[in-house]
Amino acid sequence: MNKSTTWESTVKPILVLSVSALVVSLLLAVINSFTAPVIEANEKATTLAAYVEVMPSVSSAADLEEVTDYTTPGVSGVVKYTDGSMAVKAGESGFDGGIVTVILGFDANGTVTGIWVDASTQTSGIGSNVANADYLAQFNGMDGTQNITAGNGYDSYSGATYSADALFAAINDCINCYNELA
Amino acid sequence: MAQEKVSKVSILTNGIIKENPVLRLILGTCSALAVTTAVSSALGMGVAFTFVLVCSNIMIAMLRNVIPAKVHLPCYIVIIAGFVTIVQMVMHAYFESLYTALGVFLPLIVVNCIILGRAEMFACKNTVIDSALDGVGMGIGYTLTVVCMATLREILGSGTWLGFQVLPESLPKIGIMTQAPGAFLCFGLLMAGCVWLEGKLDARIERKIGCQPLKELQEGEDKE
Repeated sequence: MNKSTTWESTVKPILVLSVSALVVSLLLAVINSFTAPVIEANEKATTLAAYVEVMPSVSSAADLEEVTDYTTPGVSGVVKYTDGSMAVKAGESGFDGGIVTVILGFDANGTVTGIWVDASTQTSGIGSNVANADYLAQFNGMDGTQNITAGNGYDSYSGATYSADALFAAINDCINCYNELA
Repeated sequence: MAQEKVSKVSILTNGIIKENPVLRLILGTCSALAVTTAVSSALGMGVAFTFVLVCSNIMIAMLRNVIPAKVHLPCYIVIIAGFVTIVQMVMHAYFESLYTALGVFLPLIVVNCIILGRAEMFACKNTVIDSALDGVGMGIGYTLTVVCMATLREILGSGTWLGFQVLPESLPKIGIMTQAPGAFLCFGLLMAGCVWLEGKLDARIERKIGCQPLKELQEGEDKE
């Protein structure tokens, strides 16, 4: 009698919930093994396209040489071209921990030739606005060897302080990495 | 009291007008208002939602005699979250632009009131086939509603439908339709349209969930 009560009231609920969680986890692991490589390949293709976008002298991603000997924190990728131009990818935490990713292109003299920003992790219509082309235009042609701060010749984004701070921090990571490798 | 036998066709069609989850049961309105700025996003959300609803209804109906009452809700959440994560991973891999457009509302399907509501009110008490039909019907009802809302908002707010230009570009657009107030306006109009259509079809029903009609409440008080 007691055994039956313990089984129904305590053991069975725990067992059913544990088995459900285990089966669902296994199913997700199987699906993930198929989708993860596709997601990774898509992300790589997007990054390569962005590198080409910020480097006007480069016409194809196949011409780029990957650089790995950098130590700047926050930086996740660097590519170089034969004419001395470079593109650096960096990310910093913005609102609610979402990463704002920046790719900055530099020519051989250290001038910024283009900027690409992914702020899709930020609040839609607020923080995501830091990726607007009109706002980013202020960074084109700037000196890519000096760190920048908001309010010192460059505008922050009103109402999206966390996202704009993350953007400025990621730009400075790119600049620091360029200075390290140049 | 013997339970009234409901036909399969009636289970399937209930979710479209009579028990439309968004317009008549007023459930899942958060995502319905948020993703309806473009028809493509609404359609994607509708398909993802229907997949999760049908799969979770089937699974919960299959396990209805196994899951103890004590852990009903945690088990439902685990099952629903599993299917939502599958949709998320597949969409991220093969439909990246849609994945980005739906943003946070895709993982939020886990706590969508319609799915949890159907699990608790229908799937855990009915057979697998009936639960699957209920999921399909409710999914069609949700998808039709969000696509109708998105059609109104996209045409009036942007002059396009599914990305194609349908109104002359010279025509001024109603900007508010792409904002939150436009979503509420469309929601109200569609709700009124649904009530009107229900009256025309003479299909008024006693709702098992949602608000009780005032008349019934008053009758109940009189009896007491």
